[in-house]
Amino acid sequence: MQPFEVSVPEVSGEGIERLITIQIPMEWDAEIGEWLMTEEGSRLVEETKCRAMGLLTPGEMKTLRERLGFSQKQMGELFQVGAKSWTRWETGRYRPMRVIGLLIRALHDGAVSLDYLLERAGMKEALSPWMKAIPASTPVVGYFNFSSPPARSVQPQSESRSPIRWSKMRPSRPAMRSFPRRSLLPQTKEATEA
Amino acid sequence: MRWLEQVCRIIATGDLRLIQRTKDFSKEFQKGFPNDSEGEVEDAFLDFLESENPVGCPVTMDYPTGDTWEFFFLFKGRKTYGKIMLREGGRKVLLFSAHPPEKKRLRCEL
Repeated sequence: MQPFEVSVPEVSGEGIERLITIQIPMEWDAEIGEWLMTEEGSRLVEETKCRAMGLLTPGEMKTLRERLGFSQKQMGELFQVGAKSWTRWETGRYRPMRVIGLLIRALHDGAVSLDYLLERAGMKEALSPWMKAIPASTPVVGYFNFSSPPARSVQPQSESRSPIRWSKMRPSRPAMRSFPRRSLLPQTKEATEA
Repeated sequence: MRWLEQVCRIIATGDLRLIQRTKDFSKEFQKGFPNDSEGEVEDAFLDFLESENPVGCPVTMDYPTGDTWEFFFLFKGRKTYGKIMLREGGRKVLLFSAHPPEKKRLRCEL
């Protein structure tokens, strides 16, 4: 275990609000003489940062989704973000913007109802009858007690709505190209500085 | 260029068993970009390395276990210093740096 300082950003996202020192597993690489991050260590750093920012951790986001019985794509539809966004958040590869993270937390905590989000996302009509019967004010935590989650019954109407995109997805990466190009070495100082 | 192809191929996998990060990489990245994720900077590495004319300098390390290059690239609209080693016969990459530049020029520009 090695100490690691987690930098918690200010609300503006620019500066550092505070540093939290945690102990994480690392690997000593004798060949290069440096400590390397491990997957577990990186996970602990991300979790610490998420908690300090008031966001759900990637693991908590996954648990939330599984309790709802939704696919990653459906969660993306629910929060009106690109199809891959939820997946990236859940794997910890990316972190949601603070405002979306707050909304996800609100759903998790029952401060905003699933019914409300489904309606705003245009997904409510596709729900099975028993789920539609749940009062709109019921927080999502209430759904967790049902013995049969609506896993396969929720079919978002992605064709019939035009959601507001809160985060623009990057275009899909083009196929790998060969590099019959100039050397990596800088051609001119101007080119490098540019 | 073989280095470019191999580094891009490995980073594109997103596989942390193949993409290693030093403690200093994570520490300095967080210090410079506290609100951003390391996954985002890996995508920025790819954007730069797959661009038309990426330029950089080879770095001679004390421990010649890989092929290391340093370069400037854009991350969130900011000029950022990056350093990557291709190691273990081209099977893994080691991310050394992704942080705001401490020097104006790369080593081979001096």
